[in-house]
Amino acid sequence: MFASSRMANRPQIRTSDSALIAMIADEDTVVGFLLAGVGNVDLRRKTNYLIVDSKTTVKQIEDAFKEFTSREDIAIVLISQFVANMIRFLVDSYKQPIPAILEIPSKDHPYDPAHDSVLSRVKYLFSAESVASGRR
Amino acid sequence: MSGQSQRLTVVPTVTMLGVMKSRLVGATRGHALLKKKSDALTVQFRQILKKIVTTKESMGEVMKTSSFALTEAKYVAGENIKHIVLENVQNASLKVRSRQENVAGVKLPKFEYFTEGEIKNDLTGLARGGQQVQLCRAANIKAIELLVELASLQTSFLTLDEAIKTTNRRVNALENVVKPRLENTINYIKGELDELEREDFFRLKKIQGYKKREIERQLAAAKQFAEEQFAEKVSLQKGISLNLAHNLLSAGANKDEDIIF
Repeated sequence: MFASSRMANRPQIRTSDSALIAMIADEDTVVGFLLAGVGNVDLRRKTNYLIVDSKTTVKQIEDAFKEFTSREDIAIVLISQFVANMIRFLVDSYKQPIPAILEIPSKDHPYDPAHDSVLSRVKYLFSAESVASGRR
Repeated sequence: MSGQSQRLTVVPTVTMLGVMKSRLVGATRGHALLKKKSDALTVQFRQILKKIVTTKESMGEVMKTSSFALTEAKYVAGENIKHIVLENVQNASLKVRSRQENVAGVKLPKFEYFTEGEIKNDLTGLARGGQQVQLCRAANIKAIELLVELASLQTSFLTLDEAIKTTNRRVNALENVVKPRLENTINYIKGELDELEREDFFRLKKIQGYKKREIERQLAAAKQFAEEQFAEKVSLQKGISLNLAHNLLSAGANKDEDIIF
């Protein structure tokens, strides 16, 4: 009677042995991470990063986000907070656990916890003067 | 919602009563277990949340350090470092491995990062600033480590959130829908059984009443008959027949002038 759909809607968590880290950020951040060795260009010249500058359109960012989140071999997507603010609706409606979306600060935009899509979901758990309670 | 805590439609028999009772016991036990699971998950949830908050704050620091190191490297090695780095991207040497961990019955994903292949060192052949570039690289690698851990925490956090919501939904469903329904069904079956018993009892009593009246009537009739017989016997002994005496009286009144009554 009440045991019918226990396992029916459980989304599968992907386990993989080698998955990439994707990046959608401004130039300096991306260059820094590329220097560390995170960048990957495969045979079809597809990269796992997108450099966002003043000339990048919102459509391009949206497409890159959608592509990174649907690729099987990407486990983490790092996105600068100011870029995330541009595609806030996409980021907020994204609900899968993998790939994980992580908002990082950039040089000119220090980290603002009030706009972080994850933390804002649980801001009711925080007290009035702590993190992520700034969004009114 | 209409029909708050209705009952299930069942045939009200003793077997069904037993079935319903065992179901109620199962539901109660399941409710207690799920509540415990929900509490355990909530504890884990809050712990992870605390860790996430502290890690995010330190991430801000680490990113600042790494961007500072990059600025230094740019200053020393010239602006072209960007293009050289961009052109030299081939295969990622830093990758992440994702595993599943079982925490309080919920499968949480966890990332760990590992280096694969050799790190390209051809950049350090830059004319100037090789050491700065190395420093920048080290700072960025540290930043990536922290970010991978943060991503891992975040995914566990989101998965736990989902799991807690589902468990709480089940707890509430059991508590507010399933158990009241079962209890109502049990009460209904008991009521029906009692009523059947009462009907039976009533029927029995009625039949007993009839039988008793029947017997009394027969007894009365028999007694009357017995009395008449006795009176007849007595009168025969005395020489007259009561019956005859009656006939004499009534018949004589009509024919015989000697009898004057």
